[in-house]
Amino acid sequence: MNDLDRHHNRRTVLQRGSAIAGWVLASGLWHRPALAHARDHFAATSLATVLQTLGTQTPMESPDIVLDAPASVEDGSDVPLACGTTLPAVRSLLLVAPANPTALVAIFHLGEGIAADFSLSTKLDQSGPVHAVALMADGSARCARRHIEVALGACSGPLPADTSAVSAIRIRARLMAGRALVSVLISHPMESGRRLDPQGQPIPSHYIEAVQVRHNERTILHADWGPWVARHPILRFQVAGARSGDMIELSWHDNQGDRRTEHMRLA
Amino acid sequence: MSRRHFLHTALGLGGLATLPAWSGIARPGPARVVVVGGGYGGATAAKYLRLWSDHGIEVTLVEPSAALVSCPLSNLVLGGSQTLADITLGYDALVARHGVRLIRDRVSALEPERRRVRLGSGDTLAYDRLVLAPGVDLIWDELPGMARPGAHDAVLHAWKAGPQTAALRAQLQAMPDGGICAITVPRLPYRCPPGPYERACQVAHYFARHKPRSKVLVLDANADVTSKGALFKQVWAERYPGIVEYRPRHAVLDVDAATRRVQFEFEPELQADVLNLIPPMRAGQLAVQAGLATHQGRWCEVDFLSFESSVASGIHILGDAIQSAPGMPKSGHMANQQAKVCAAAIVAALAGQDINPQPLYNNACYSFVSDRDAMHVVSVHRYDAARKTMTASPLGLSSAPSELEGRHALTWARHIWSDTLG
Repeated sequence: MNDLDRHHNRRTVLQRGSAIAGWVLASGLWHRPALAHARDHFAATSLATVLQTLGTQTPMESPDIVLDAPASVEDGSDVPLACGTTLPAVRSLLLVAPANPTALVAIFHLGEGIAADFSLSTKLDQSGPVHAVALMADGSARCARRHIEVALGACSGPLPADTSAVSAIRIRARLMAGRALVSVLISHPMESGRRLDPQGQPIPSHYIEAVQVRHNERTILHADWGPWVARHPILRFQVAGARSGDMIELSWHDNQGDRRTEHMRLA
Repeated sequence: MSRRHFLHTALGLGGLATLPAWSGIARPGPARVVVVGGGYGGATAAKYLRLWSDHGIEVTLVEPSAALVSCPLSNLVLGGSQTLADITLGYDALVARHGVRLIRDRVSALEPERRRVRLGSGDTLAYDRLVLAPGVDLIWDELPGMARPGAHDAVLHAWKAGPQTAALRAQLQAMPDGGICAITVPRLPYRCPPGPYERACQVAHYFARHKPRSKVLVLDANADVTSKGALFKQVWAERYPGIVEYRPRHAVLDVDAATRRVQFEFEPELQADVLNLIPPMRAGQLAVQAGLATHQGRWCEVDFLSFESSVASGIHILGDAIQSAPGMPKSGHMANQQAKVCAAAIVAALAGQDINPQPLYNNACYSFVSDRDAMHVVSVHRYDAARKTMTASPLGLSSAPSELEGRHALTWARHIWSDTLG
């Protein structure tokens, strides 16, 4: 584990490893829940029910799944979690925090050409376990688990008033040995709907529900997010077969109907 | 071997001054503890091991520096109200009053299987228990610009009080009026959470008096001020308007030391006239090299009842190098408190007695916002047996900085210096 961990969360879990084996091979099929029930799993309050809703049994713990997380954080409102695996045939990666009011933080559905390796800023409401779960093409699931002590929860914390409304998406990327290492800063309040304003009134939920990433003409990632992605989150991922001049495009839409798209060309 | 097992074994053998359970051979004479590092944690541990064993334990403190330069109050050197001499403290009393053996050297390697450490001189020191208080190591390897020749002369951290503190003061004095001093703050955890913000106040205090057209830019990798946030922001707005500017979410990507340009991942690059780069940190090099930094390769996990390493029996680790419990800052006060818990546990264990199952201690942290006015935050930390960690309860926070608290802060410093070294 130590050789995978680093001082910064600047990088994703596996990018320093020489062998990136986690590319999804030309499946071309998105394995997503049927639309009518698309967000049922975001209502689940335990790991077991999240996976049940997704039609998978409880996962085995596996050393092949990496979850890079701090053991303790002072402030649960911005906790970077990195998950990854070098296993082939991974369909989706999930971040699950069952100590939060609802358990599922994010689910990444992998397309062709994206590594099974993500880092995302998240919110944790209290101390407890977090899980990274890989849903495999054969229907099985594997996971890694970490315990995180949280001094100040994301719900109770006196998060300063958000002066910046929804604004730009900023995409940064650099090429390294045919891979693009991409970091995206998304400006968004990501209100969970569980916080109260200074007058004691609930602040309405306002969060990004879905993120899509395209590499040139091809969609390489669909991600579904819940209310426990951090305010102004940073998402990091890697794109295989990337070349100078290629286009990386990210778009999102939120639960209030707002949407944004931004793209950049690899230098 | 578990501690319980060790205690029972030691007890069966008669405890103090007899066979250490692990040695396999009888060694007559007093138990020996080697303490590596003479900062707040190490010096306190050395003193209290002697006091609480009635001078029964032989304590050797290994420290390369001739004196301890206090990090607490060192920001006042930048502001101009204290000198380095004011905050430089000798080890004389530890030796003369408490009988601590002091070796001015550094430890080059641990040899835990032989229960000894190797010194820079090549000599070895055997121990029954080892206490490591290695402080923090500054992480530069993710900033390629800092590897260029001369970079560390141009861009200072001043996060270990001493020559860098004086050099940063000189840079501020040499800066023309109208210049910008940028202070970068790493993501938590790092040594002294409020320290960078106190420093911003001290530099602003100096600018307000001597270079009123100059600015202090606080570039924070965190999403918000990490300690006493509302108080610091109020101080900046009321006392230093137009001088201090705070920018969150500015994680440093790289620097060009020669031009004092700093790059961020998402924000536009900036140029400063004085660039004070406080980099990310990890446990002191000795602990990392010995494989004791078990948490993310950065921090040493310990048993909070004894501060014994979670992976190396007989080795105790203190202070800023450990993986802290929630709400437990990396501070000199905290290291002093941890050192007493550790010393008591070692004395008890070597005497074949049970160690205190309910340690309880506090942290007090003062920040100076000018040459005279300070504010504080205090917390209490108690052991939670079920979760095997320390839980923090806030005990008090200033409503505003005051001159009275400034006097309290100086008194606090005198007392902790006396408790640690006197």
